[in-house]
Formats: sequence, structure tokens, C-alpha cells
Amino acid sequence: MNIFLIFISGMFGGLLRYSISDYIIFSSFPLITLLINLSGAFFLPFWTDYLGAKIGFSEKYTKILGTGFIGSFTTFSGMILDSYKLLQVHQTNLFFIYLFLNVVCGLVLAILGDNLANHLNERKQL
Amino acid sequence: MNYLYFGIGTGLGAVIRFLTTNIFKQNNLGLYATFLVNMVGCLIAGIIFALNQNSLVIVGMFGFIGGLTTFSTFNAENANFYFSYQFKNIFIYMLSSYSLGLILCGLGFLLTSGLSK
Repeated sequence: MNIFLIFISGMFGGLLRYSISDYIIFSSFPLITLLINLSGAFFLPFWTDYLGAKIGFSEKYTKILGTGFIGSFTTFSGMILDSYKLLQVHQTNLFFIYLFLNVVCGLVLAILGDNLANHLNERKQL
Repeated sequence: MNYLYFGIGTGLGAVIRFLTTNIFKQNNLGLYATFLVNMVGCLIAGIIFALNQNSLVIVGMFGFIGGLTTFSTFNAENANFYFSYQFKNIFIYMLSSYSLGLILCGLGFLLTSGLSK
């Protein structure tokens, strides 16, 4: 049962990413993958630690949607492949900018998502 | 039709990531599961990029590696290191994931394009 749910939610996460990147294409800079990944990095801890429970999902279903949908919406391999493509066309500056944005913004947004969830949880208890 | 293959690929990738994480978590090694699936995904990404085909199977494979690998969980794990003041681990985890991921992607690409010549 869990596996089936993961399959379905993962499928929708991937299809959402696929349809977004199908319609919006930036030729020189892989902006869409970056934005998708960064939004997922922020939203996963926020969803797991706050929003999932607030909507009324049990921990199990919060996890299934977090792991399946958000986990598949974001992609590590796609980001690495984007970076590799930049290297191949000798866009070394863009390559480093792209990696830097992923490294720094990914971590910062994940921390912010967690912080915001904790903040809202504390307010609720007051 | 592309959407069907991509979707099924992604779903399968997500299931394998989920199962891998569950197996590793039983030994408190959940982090290594994310690392493993991400690195395997990067290797496959290089290989299928080198094949340079638009067949439905390749579309499905791109779906598969997207579902298999994850950027959000990777950063959530790093955020957990941050909240437990394990800054050295953030450095190690990020450096190894990004650099090895790139190396494996390049290796997959170069070996495949070399073999198919």
C-alpha cells in the first residue's frame, strides 16, 4: 500500500516538474530546475514539520507526500546534468554561479523552511 | 505519450528511493541512502544524456532518475546537521555529493559516448 502511494505521489511530483520545464525553457541558463529545486528545498521541511499536520494528514501520509511528491518534484541528477552541460559548452562562469546558487540557496532555504515551521508551531502553542 | 513514460519512470524511481531509504534507516543510515540514490542517478544521467535519443524509453529513464534522486531531502538532511551544530558534516556531505555527482555524470557520459563511437 505504501509503495503504491509513493509511486502515485512520486509520479505526480515528477510530472509537475516535467510539465513546467516543458513550457518554460531558458536557453543559456537552467533556471527552471534551479527554481523547482529551491522551492522544494524550502517546502519539504515546511510541509513535514508544519503544513502537513495542519492540513490534518497523519504522519504517515505527510511523509508519503513529502518523500514522494516533493522528493520527486526536485531532482539532484537533473541539476548535476545541467551543470555538466554548462561545462561542456565552456560556460565556466555560469557553471560556478549555478553550483553556488544551488549549494548556498538550497541549504539556506531548507533552514528557513524548518525555522518557519518551528516558529508557527510555537505560536500555536501560546 | 511522453508524459505516460516519464510519469511511470518517476514513480518507479521514487519507490526505489523510498525502499532504499527504509532499508538504510533500519540501521540508522538514512543519509547514506539519499547519497547513494543521488550518485547512482547522476551516473545514469550522464549515460542517457550521451545516448542522445528521444525514444520513449529514454524519456522514461529521465523520469526515473528524477524520481530516484532528490534535492529537497538532501538539503533537509543538511539543515538537520545545521540545527545540531554539525557544520563539518554539512561541508563533507555537500562537497562529496556535488563533486562526486559531477564526476559520475561526466564518467557516464564519456564512457558511453566513447563506447558508442
